[in-house]
Amino acid sequence: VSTATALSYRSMTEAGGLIMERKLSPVELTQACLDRIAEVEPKVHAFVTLLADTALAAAREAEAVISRGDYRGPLHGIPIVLKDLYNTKGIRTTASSKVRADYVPTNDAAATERLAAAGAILLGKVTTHEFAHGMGSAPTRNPWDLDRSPGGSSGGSGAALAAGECLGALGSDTGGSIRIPSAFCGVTGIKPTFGRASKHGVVPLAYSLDHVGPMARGVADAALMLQAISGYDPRDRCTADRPVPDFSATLHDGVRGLVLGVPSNQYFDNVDPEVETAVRQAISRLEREGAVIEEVALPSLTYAVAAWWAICLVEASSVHQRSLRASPDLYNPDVRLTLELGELVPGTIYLKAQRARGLIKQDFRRAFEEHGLAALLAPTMPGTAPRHDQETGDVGSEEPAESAIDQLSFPANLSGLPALSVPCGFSAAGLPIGLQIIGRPFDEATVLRIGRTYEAVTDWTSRHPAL
Amino acid sequence: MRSNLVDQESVASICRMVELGLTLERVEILTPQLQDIFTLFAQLDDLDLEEVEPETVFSAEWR
Repeated sequence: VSTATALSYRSMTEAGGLIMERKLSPVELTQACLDRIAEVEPKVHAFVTLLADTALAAAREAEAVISRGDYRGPLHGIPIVLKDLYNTKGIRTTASSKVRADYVPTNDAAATERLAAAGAILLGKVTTHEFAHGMGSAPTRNPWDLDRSPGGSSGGSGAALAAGECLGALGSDTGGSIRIPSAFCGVTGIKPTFGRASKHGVVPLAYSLDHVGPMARGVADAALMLQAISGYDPRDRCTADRPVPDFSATLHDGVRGLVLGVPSNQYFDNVDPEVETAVRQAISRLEREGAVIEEVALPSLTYAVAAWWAICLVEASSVHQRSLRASPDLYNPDVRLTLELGELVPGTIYLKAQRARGLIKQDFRRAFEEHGLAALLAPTMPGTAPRHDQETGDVGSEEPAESAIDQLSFPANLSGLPALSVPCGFSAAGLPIGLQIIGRPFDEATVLRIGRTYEAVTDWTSRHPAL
Repeated sequence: MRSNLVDQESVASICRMVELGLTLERVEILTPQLQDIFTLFAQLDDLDLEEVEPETVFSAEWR
């Protein structure tokens, strides 16, 4: 492993500490990431737009500012990437779609703005499934096996992190799009509570299901990025006007005495035995750390897939209504089809789904309150990363494999509850497996603390793919 | 399982209604997919939603 590679795989926490002590220059760190990108990008294809020159200029500026004694905090001088749904002022934001191939925003997204204010260095924009709605993650490859998909829709973020091309990333999650690539690429990602972080300036998929959130190579790093992007924003009417706790402060408090629920239905149906074994072992590991494990039932989750599709199809079609009529041929066939379908769903079905969503939310609440749960533990995904040629996903498919993915990821979007994915092992074929930790509303701190406790007693995050 | 409530003629007619000008070829592609999602959505009819309000909120606040 070259020095540059070793440097680009450093955690944010570690690199940030060195930058603060002026033992590491942001320029050196940024250059290390750019060297790594030059080395592996021809295989990984995570980037849509690489910003080498502006990144180096920003790193030199950060270095100068820090050497003047004006250190802004743990993200200062840290190279990161953004999913290409986040508006970046003066930098094209394509949503990985021909529809937006030349779109150059005049303003930054709220999260782009907040990360810049925290001193993070933007290395570039990375791939997404088209408008976060498509089924395919091409051209991006999974660094653990280049014949496989990184998952999506934040596939570029997951692949870039696993390949050591950056230290942190933002993704977005409407039906699992942060957690899926986190699990498939062996990285850590959190979909915070709906309303925790501003979606202003992020290309929408479905207004009431969209969440923005960080992806990183460890829980502490994800906590730092979440800290930076959280909080009320009058430009996003969904954001909650409530205090943001210090997510890093309680990370090391352990899980002794916490009651953790394990769903008895839905989350373990149609799950690959290798994945189930890894997740059950992770649950036992947390029990050995002092957590109390209880089985819980969440009966209404049977309806999550139907409710999610009804809401997502209609909301997405509303976003794209004009553009679909103006330039239908610019969309990939799978996205075009889902947008057309959404046009034909009656309003009463949409509202029926939004009422079913209310039941699902109540079901989670009942489970958390009756058992005094701190969080629920489940697999993030029912299997490991699929081969590129097996990436399908018909809308509302009754194929067990596809609906199993939906069943595991949709409930946290419908309920808005915070959900973290942390690596919890590898399949016999060497592919990463993720543990999903779902918490109470606005209690990301506990979710992160549980994730960090597990991470600290295992060594999954220290492994990197051979590229 | 497929609902047979949706046929190409009705799909074409709804498409006209929402001013989505689709060719016959598109309607042919769309119809079975629409049957599938309506079958999926029919699951929601099992739920008693009498007492449940939709999770859509309007706020009169100016912000």
